[in-house]
This record gives sequence, C-alpha cells and structure tokens, in this order.
Amino acid sequence: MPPTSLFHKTDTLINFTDQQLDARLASRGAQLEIGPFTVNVALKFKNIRDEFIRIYRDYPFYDNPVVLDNTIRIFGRNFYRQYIKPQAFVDVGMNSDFIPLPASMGMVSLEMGLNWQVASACKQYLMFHAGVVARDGVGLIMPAMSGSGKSTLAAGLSYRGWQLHSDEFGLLDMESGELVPYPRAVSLKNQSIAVMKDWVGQVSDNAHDHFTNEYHGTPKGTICYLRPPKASIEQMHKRTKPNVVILPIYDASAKPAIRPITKTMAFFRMVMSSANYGDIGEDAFRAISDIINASDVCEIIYPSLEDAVSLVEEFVANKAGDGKAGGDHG
Amino acid sequence: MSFFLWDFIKGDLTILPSTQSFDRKLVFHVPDNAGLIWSEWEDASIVYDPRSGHTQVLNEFARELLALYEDGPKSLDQLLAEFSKIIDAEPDATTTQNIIETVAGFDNMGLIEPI
Amino acid sequence: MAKAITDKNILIRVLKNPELMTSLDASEWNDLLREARISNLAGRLAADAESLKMNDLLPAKVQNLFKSFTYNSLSSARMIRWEMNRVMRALKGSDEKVILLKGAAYLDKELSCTRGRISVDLDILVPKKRIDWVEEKFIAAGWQHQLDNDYDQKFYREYAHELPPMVHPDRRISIDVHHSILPVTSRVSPDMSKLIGDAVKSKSGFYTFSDVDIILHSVVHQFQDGEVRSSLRNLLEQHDMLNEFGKNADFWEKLVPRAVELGLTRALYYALRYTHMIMGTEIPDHVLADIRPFGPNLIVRGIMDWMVPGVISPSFGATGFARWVAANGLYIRSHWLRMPPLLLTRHLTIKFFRRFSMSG
Repeated sequence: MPPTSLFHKTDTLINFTDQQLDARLASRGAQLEIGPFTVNVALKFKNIRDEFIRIYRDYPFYDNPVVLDNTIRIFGRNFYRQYIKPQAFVDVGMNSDFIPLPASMGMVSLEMGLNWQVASACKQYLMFHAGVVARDGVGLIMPAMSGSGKSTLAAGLSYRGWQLHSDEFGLLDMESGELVPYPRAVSLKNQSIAVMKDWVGQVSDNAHDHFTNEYHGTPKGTICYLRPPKASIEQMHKRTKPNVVILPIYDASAKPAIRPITKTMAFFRMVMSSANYGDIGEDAFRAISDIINASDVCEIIYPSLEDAVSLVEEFVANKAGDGKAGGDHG
Repeated sequence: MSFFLWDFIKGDLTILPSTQSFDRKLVFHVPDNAGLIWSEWEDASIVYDPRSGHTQVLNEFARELLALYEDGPKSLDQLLAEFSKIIDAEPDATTTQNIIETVAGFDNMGLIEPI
Repeated sequence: MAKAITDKNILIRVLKNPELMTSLDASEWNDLLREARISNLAGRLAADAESLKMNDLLPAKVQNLFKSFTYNSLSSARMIRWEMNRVMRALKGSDEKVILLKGAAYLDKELSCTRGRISVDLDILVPKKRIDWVEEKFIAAGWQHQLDNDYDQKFYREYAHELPPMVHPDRRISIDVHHSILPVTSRVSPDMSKLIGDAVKSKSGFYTFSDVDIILHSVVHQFQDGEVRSSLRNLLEQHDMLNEFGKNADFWEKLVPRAVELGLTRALYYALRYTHMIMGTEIPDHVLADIRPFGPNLIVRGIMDWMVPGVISPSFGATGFARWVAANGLYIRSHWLRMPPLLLTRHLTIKFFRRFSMSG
C-alpha cells in the first residue's frame, strides 16, 4: 500500500524556478505540501520570501487548485506597514488575530502561523509534542517538554541517517497505527543553533545554505530554522509504525546514561505531550496504549548532542538484537 | 503503604477534595453505562472513561477498591467492612484514611456516582 | 436583496442541499471550508456527509478533514454532557427544577440541530430565588468564578441575567447560571414563571423548555440579545428546529400566540422572515400572516434586510466599511434592547476606559 499524498493523480506537482516561486508567493500564493498537510502560502515581504525559498524550494508545490488544509498570508496592513516600518501581519484563515511581528523577523511569523494552524485544528491525527524519527522499520518517538533538546536531537539524528518526521509535531494515523511524517523546518533556539551548524557542517560542504538567518530578541530568545535533510523531504509520505519511546533529558553536567522507565510512566508522558488527546478521546487512549504495548521505552540523560545520538543508537541496536524492535515492522 | 492516584486531565494534576464531609452512608456504584476501558501494566492500571473523556491512573490498591464498586453498589461503611473481611483485620487509621481519600477521588472523577 | 446575496453563498447552498458536496471542485471546496470554519459550521458539514453516507464520494483530503471536524464536535458534545453529569452530582439530593438552555437542551432532547455542533459553555436556568443556592452548591463542588475583575462581577450580578460564569478547574467548560432569558433591565421581560411552568422533565433528570419556548429562546438570542458572529449557526438551528418541531401541527398553532403571550413577537417576526428568506424554511402561510402585523415599519425592515445577511457571516455581501456598519450597527442596536439608555452609556463607557487603560 503506497501511503502517499491525499490528492488525485491528476493533481500536478510543479517544479518552480526560484523566480517563479517568488512570483507565485508574492501574488496568489503557492500550494506547499508538507507531509499530510497542504497550505497556500502568500508572502508580501521580499525578505520572508527569500528565506522561505531557501528552506522550502525542494518541497512539493501543486500547480492546479487542490483542497487545502489551510491558507496563510503574511502582509503589511497598509503602505506604512508594508514599506516604511514593515510589520508582518499573519492571517491564518481561522478567525484568530496574531500580534504582528516586525517584518525583519522573517520566517518566525510564518513558522509560528503554521504551528498555530496545526496545533489548533488538527484532530484527524493524534499529535505529540515530540521529536519523531524513523530508520529501518524503527519508529522512534521522543516526547519532551520545551528545553529538553528534543528538536536538536531529532534534527541531529536526521543528519546522521534517520528520516526526520518532525522536531515537534509527531503525528499518528490512528487507523493504521503509523507515524505520519511532517518534516517542517526545524526550529532551533539559542545555544542549539551553533551546535547544529557544527553538526551539519560535519556532513555538508555548504552547511550555511541549510539555515535561515538568526532572529534575535524573540520571546524565546534567538531562533533559527534548519531545513530537513533532502532524503527526509523526499520521504515525506513514508510512514512507519512506532516501536521505541525515549524520553530525552538534557543536562550539561550529567554523565550520559540510559535509564529504565515503566510503561505507565511512558504512557503518562505521551498523554502529557499530546495537544489533542483530550479532544480525540477513546481512539487516542487506545492508540497510545497500543504504542506503549508495542514499544521499548527508556529515558536518556545526556550532556551533548553527540552523547544523545550514541545513546539512542545504542538503545535501538540492543533492542533490535532482542528482536523486539527493528525490521519486523518494515 | 505507598499509594498514589494520578488524575491527569489535560496535564493538570487534580487536588483531591476534602474528605471531611464525605457522606459514609451514601450508596455509590459504577454506572452501568460507564463503559470504562482499561490498559493494565505491571505497576498500575490506566482507565479511560468514555463519558467524561478523562484518563486516570490507578495503582493496584485503588484498582482493587474500584473493583469492589464494580461488583455492586455500596456505601463507604459497607466498603470498609468488606475490606476488613478481605484482609481479615481492622484496617489501621492510615489505611482507612487512604480508602476514604480514594473513594472521594473516585467520586470527584465521576468513576462512581451516588445512586 | 438579502436573498440574492445569500443564495449565491456556497455555505448556505450546501447547508440547504448537502448533496452538492459530491460535485464541488477544489476551489469551491476551499471557499466552502473557509466559510464553514469562520461560521463554526465545519462539524455540521461533516455530520451531513456522514448522515447521507456520501463520505466515499468526497475528495480524500476532504474525508481526512471531516475526521478532524467530527472529533471536534464529538468532543464538544462529550464535554457538555459530562458537565451536565457533574451538575447533577453537585445538586444531588434536591428536586429543584434545573432547566437546560441552548446547546445543552438540544443535546438532551437529541434534536437534529446538534449534529456536528460545537458548544463551548453550558447554560442552565433556575428560578431567581434559587440562584444563590445553586452558586453555593457549585462552589462547594469545586467550581470557581472566572471573573476576577470587580466591575465585571458587579455588572453580571446587577444587570445581567446570570451569575458570573463559573468553571471547574478539572474541566474546560464554563457554566452560566441564568434566572431569566433576558437581562433584568431589558425592556422586553418575558414572564419567567410561564416558561419555567411549562418546562418538561427529561430522562437525564434535567428540565428543558417546551418546544415552542425553546425556539423563542433561540430567537430572542439572535434578534434581541448580542450574538452577532455566530448568527448563521443560530439561524440554521432555528431552521432545523422549525423543520423538526413543525412536523407536529400543534406546534404551529401555539407558536405565534405564545410569542404574543411572552412579548417576543418582534424577534419571532425576524426569525421567521430570515429563516424563510435565507434558509428556505417552510413556514405555513397562516403563521406568516399571523406574525406579519408584529413586524417593524418598512424603513426598519429595509435596513434589517440589508444588515442581516451582512452580519450572519463575516464573508457575506458586505465588505469593509459596510460590513463594519452592519456588525456594529446591529450590536449596538441589540444592546439598546437589553438595557435602558443610561445604563448602556455607563457600560460602554467603562468598557471603553478599561480598554484604554489596559493598552496604555
């Protein structure tokens, strides 16, 4: 069964040149597909379009009109806000007004608008505030609070051969029990920016091309976005069943360690991380129970990205050796 | 006896209600239409209540107490009597207090309701 | 004119004829979904598709989105029903008549208009002399007042027709406890004892108004009270109820006389006029004839005909300034009906100052 995009075969993808994409974004908008969601993106500011094109140019864009999950439009409300003192007003098509950001914040307003749309409207997939990656039939969920380093860890793994599903929106199709990739740009904050620039630099000659500008002075400090690896973008419709749950804990002074946790604790943390568990109800309860029953669970504590990646790979390899996780779901 | 009862609705931990005023004669039952759904693991049972949409974690002790209500309607006094019969002794003051708190918690969560 | 505008609207066309969903192209779907989200009616589309068993005929993306809308409306119904259960628990041991209003009443009576419906609060009504008793019981059971601002608290207690909204910290639903269907200061003041006297008990142990009174209550909210944004949804619920209750011939005989008895004829006039005009609701000729004398003069009617379609959904007809006039015009107008002029000025002024002091 090829789980692919939800569109008809007659819907055509288009390969834009950068100039064509820019023109489309500046006018009626471009229909961008990321995993299961397609959004029409219209950007009236040149600096935001430039950054957008750098990050999203390899993603699928639909040419003819398709049924959209949503629309997002970023614009100045008047001449003054467009040109003199540019302020990016975000219309997410959902009756909600955002406080406009200075246009110099570029991608921040777009990414926050997309976050808002998914977080508030998506109920058809069970959603975890978690980093999710997959490799060779292993579907790994890392539910975590902000500041645990899960974004960095998910991105770090993805630049070492794992398929990036998402750095913060884990999605599960409750009917098939599969994780649904949603490989958006990875949002990096503060110290993790330098860590990832170095990490990507180790495997890429033009690492700078993978990152947006750094935006200073946001409510979360400095923010920078990282494009997922090309393979993860190409595999955005390749789904995997979850079978490993790891709770990551970043502690700069800790000795790296894998610690056992109970299944109850893992269940509890999965529920806590889910934004739509309460609305979905019984199906969500059953889905998380199934995940926990099918998964090996642990907690890792780590002082660096390097250590975290080794611990994850060690845990997964040992479990694969037991035949509990690994190729059996592939 | 170590004993816990988590109630996580949208991630908020609930503070259990005061047990001072708990009516010991009021007869409670698990409603017929409750349709509780369970996931059981080594250290605890997790129950989903389709009527409220809430999920609760019960340890073994709380699970057993709820099972007594699933067997049939009873008041707190009747529950305590049944409990003494099972352990073949009078429960000490701490255990009794734990039982009352647990039952008040069940009532608060709507897992049991007065008839 | 109103008719021309709303007839073209894709959401209204699909609500009137859900089978249209099987023949829409992608652009039409995008328009329809946008309008449905704005009017809080996305769940209704999903429910209509489900009840007509035509999901398989819809684009895959639409089926996928409809799952999301369905979870939303089921969740809303579950929360309301559970809050009702908790209210019953809190009031256990009394035989007070507790009357469910609006969405909760529709759910309790399993009316067709509840399909796909989203409600965010639970509204109940008790006789005025019992309202303090209810408040005490709720507070004992853990509910808390949501307003910490003294002015707003005072406003509710003195001039509104309800307690300040309460919410239980374990749950996300806000409860409004009313003692009247209109503010005490309203110029129209229906005799609550008549409404309460005719209320009927249901299986759940709660009471609901009689069919005729349920409609009149909905109507009063749309055309006398202050709800502006959700009014297509309200118009649709009136359309559904008129269809459902109207199967019973008795209902039509009682409707206008009851509105006369309660002094709610003007609101009923508008509701019948606009459900008929916009949703195509079938209303017997003699009922339309009976209500006609209670309409406004031609000028006001002309203004209403121009404003109502512009207001029931943000995207209908009116745009820009005209839309602002329509929305705010109707808002202020409905406030006028709720409060004597002096009070109105006071309330708006204080609201105005608070807004400025907060932004300053």
